[in-house]
Amino acid sequence: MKPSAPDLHRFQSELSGLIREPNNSPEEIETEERRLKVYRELFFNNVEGFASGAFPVLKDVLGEDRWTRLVRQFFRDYHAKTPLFLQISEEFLTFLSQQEIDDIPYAQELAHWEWMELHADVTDTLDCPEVLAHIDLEDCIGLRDCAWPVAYQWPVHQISSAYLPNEPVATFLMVYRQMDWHVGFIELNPMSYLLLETLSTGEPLALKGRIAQFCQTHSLEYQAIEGPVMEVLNQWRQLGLLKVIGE
Amino acid sequence: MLDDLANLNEGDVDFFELAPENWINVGGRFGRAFRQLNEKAPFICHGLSLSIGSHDPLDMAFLKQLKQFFKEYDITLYCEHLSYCSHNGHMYDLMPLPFTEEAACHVAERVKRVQDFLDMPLVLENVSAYIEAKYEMDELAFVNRVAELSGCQLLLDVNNVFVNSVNHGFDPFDYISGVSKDRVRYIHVAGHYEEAPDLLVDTHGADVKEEVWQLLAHAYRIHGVQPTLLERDFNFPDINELLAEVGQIRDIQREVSHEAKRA
Repeated sequence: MKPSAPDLHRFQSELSGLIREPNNSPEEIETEERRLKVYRELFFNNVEGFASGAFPVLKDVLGEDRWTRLVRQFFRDYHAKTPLFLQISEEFLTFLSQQEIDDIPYAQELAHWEWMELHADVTDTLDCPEVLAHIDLEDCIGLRDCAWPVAYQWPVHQISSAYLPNEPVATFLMVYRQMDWHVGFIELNPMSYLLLETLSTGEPLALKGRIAQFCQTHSLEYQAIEGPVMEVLNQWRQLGLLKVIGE
Repeated sequence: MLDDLANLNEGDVDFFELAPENWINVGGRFGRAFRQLNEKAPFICHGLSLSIGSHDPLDMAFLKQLKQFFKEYDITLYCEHLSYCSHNGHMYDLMPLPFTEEAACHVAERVKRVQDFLDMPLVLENVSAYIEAKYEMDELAFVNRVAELSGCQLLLDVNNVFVNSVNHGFDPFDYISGVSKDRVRYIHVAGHYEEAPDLLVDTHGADVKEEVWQLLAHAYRIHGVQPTLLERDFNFPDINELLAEVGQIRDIQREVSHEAKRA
């Protein structure tokens, strides 16, 4: 037996500190460096595995060394609260939003995009009604919960280590999960993104009224806009992204 | 691996074990595969994030999620680790407790709160450790003390006993003989990695070693033939090799049952 029993809290502080920061040296805990190394490697590799599984493109863009330093910093300094493993990616995203990565201005947006795709794949969304057979102007049309419109300053969906953008490009995307669980995304033009915003805000309203509202907000002619709007809506309908609200 | 499991025949395995932390709030194609697997065999939950020994407060919101999850999937056995995985936040792997009376009381008090809240017994597993934390008692005395104080049941991981017996120098057979009778409800068997002759790491990434099979038989002789899981987390061989190891568990169970009948 070892001579003096340690205080539980102090023991846990010291050991967790030794694992989080490999440069720390033991004070009260008596052990060999190689045994501590087992813990340090197991813990770090585990967290790195969660992070690289969720953000493979970011890892690729940052490069191995920089990525490792970033995950090391996350593990050491960011005190994650979630007990659920898939949500570690959300914790990493929050951590990343607090970092300054000036030379890669799209790093945060890229990470958000990667998280968005993962989220669409795994989220426990129950809202999966039948695909609409047609769109009626008198119906109240809304977006299903399995579709997520997102806007970025950078073309996040094109970024890879082979394509690093030099200039921002306003980018509107919609990630969706279909009835057969397939996850995909489409690019939206600015008009269809604004249309989506109109559809998803305020009280439920018949589609006709929505389009009128849209025209008023953006100073457009109803007659000129109805055709293009219906075309866009039909594309979304075919992907199974629309539902009738209030049925 | 999920695909291999989905193709198993009825009777290939008696149950699956899963970490609720991997599956709570998960839907989509994984959620569907999960529900389909549940139609093949019942689930046992083996938690990783409860952090029963930690000084961080018990996460009551997480316990609520667990309770709901157990109800949804008809889970009647929830086991966790006699250890902790957080200190000022989660670290997502297991750290050893110091074997002191203070630590045993701290764990026991939290176990009771968890058991009251979930309205089911908590089953705690002896964990592999790479640093020696023997102070006022040894590991065996600590495990028994926690069980005595809290009323919890035990998951006896025979591979962890073996790993620790090498890492910290004790007799694994004596350890298993010394675990409190009538506490062991569930058993784990797994492979490990030899970092050095006196330092084994519990990886769940290799075949079960011969010494560990012998310990499993010994555990059955002392604690009865209990439900047993073959743990394999990565480095997966062909599914038939894993099924052969499951077959070996069944062979040992039969053998020890026959011995008991003859005696």
